[in-house]
Amino acid sequence: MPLRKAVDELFSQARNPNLLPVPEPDLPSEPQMLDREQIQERQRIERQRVLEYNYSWLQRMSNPEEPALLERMTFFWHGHFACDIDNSVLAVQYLNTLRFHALGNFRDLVVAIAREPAMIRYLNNQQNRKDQPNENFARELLELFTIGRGNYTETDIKEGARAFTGWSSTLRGEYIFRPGQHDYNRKTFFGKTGNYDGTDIIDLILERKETALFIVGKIYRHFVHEKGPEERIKALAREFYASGYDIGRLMQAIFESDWFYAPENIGTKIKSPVELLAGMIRSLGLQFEDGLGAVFVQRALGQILFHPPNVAGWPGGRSWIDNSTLMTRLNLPTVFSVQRRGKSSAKG
Amino acid sequence: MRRREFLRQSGLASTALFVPAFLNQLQFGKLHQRRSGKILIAIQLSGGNDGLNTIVPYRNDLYYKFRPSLGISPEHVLKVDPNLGFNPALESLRDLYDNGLVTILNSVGYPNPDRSHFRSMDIWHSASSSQEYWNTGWLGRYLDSNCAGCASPYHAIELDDSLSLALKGAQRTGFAMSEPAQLKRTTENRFLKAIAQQHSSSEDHDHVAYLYKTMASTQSSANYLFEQSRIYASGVAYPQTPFGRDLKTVAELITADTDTKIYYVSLTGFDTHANQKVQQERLLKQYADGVNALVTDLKQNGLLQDTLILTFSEFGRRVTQNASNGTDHGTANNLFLIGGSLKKPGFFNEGPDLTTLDEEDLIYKLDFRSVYSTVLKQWLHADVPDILGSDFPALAFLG
Repeated sequence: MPLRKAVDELFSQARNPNLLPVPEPDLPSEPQMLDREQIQERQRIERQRVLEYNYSWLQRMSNPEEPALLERMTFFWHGHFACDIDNSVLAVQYLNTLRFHALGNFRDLVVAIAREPAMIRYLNNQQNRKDQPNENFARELLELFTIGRGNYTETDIKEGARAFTGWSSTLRGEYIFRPGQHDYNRKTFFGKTGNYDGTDIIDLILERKETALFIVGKIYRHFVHEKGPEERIKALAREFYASGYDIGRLMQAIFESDWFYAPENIGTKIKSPVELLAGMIRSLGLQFEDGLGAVFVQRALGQILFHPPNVAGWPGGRSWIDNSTLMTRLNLPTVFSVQRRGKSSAKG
Repeated sequence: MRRREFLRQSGLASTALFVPAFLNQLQFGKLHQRRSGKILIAIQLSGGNDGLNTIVPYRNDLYYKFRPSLGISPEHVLKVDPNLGFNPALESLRDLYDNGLVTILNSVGYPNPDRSHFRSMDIWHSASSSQEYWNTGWLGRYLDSNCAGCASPYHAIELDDSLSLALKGAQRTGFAMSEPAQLKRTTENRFLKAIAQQHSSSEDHDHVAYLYKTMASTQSSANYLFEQSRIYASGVAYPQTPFGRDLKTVAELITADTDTKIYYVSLTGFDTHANQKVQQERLLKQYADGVNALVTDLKQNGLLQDTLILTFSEFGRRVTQNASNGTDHGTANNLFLIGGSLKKPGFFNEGPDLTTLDEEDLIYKLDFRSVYSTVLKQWLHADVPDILGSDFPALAFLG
């Protein structure tokens, strides 16, 4: 198949992402009546549910029937908009958001993430109120999600945080804007003054070309090579900016380039544990008895879906490898083949 | 290649064949050093140990007011100071204290404390501020700093199946193993030996070379550490728990003059939100008995002067007890230093201030990075600003 056609096929598969049904929130009828042990038990059950979604996500990544490119991008954004989630409703909504926008428009994705209840709770935007702003979300929005360090001031963080006051979530895990908590006064952000709300702040950040460069640099390092020629990344960033932050077009440009297939860019990536595991499941047709086994391997190798180490995501590259994780990686095929043999002999 | 052939070939591989030259040099050549440097043992109490019920301010009425049922009454406190005493489960730590082998730092923490286990543990491991996210640990960066002997893959060992952030550097990492014999079994797999034989060529991408290097050094380290672990069998009684076993392994490796200068051990279960007393005291007793055995062991072999044990937890707990006879996540905490070279045994500074709280939590007085700074500078003779990012003032606890 000619390259162009193969790439087109990847993209056409990725259209109309198949989103997960959001489960009904499991809310206690009288929350105030719960004692501590009951609360802990409920939390334990929720964590268990998230593990089940973890496993179904992994299976989806490994399923040849699923659009591979879409799954790759969804997974990439999970590391970028890293969020630790202990609640199944929030986990499903968050994953749906990533999948829906994975190859869409970056602005839409950032706005959706800012309204994502999982992220709102993870970065304390519940506590971001006009009389007592919490800067956590605004700081990470600038530092990690969009423009990167060195392109903003502490004042921008403070003023930005005010614009996101009142962006909150309900008990059921739905986004809600609470006007009573929102700061409607004027804010000065990136030297401009206006009656900004959160969406305006995102637009102001995306107006800066540095944001396109930051995102393209990260995508390049993830998909192509940890070190890329600066000029090439800058050129891609210019196109990305000119396209109005069209992620799909950016990825298409990367995959249709000659340099993507150049020898120096082949075989240069240390797979993350989830990539490794998904690949093995896919190529060996592995099945775990239940999700716990798959999560156990993720834990041993240092990457658990829905549980990044912090908001900066997984550092990647060589940090995946130490003596212990390398031995686990190398011993995995043996473990799996013993399992498979055990199964087939049990059948026979 | 046919399977049988493959197995036969790999079975024939001798150790000497698959240990690359650079590791042979490492073991037998110029990098090998006799013990001259100091040894650091870090003990992590995971889950957030309740410092106020560890070192009890038994003269302070506020303590009993905040903890009406959880407070330890004065008659049970092991009184080592006019104002502060030990939890009754720490009898064997008191023994060390009375012998001038313990320094206790009170109210250790950092600005803008984070009450999440993971985040706060990351902060302690990486030594970042609470606003920064660093991907390397303070001891990992020490390994990166080209300290003497740091090129050895087992210069820093964590007694665990996986490696903590604290021991991950950008260039070098510590070594994780739960037990030398088990490590040896994992690496003695024939398939792994065979893979090691397919050694990479110089044309390989540097990631590939790195993977081969890590694999070869793991295999060679596994043999070395297993042999080292058999040199000295300790006769001291350690607690019959994984933690006790880890400390025993550490003592045996140190006594065998192993080329390891940093050991990292964890004791978990301190997240005592409910019915704290039983659980915390069981763990504290295990900790104190274990450390007492370790110190006895090292002392017998004349190694205590060269050893420093640093014990920390990711945070202390809320001053006020909760409704379940437990405590919730808090902030500043006490930190123990144990060893034969302490300049100021006893309490380094006064007990926590229970009058001035920040959102019901203790306010830190000593930054933990000053503790790291002191250990790095005065114990490991390292360049602090390189490792910690800036020069935190040293504290005068080391001789």
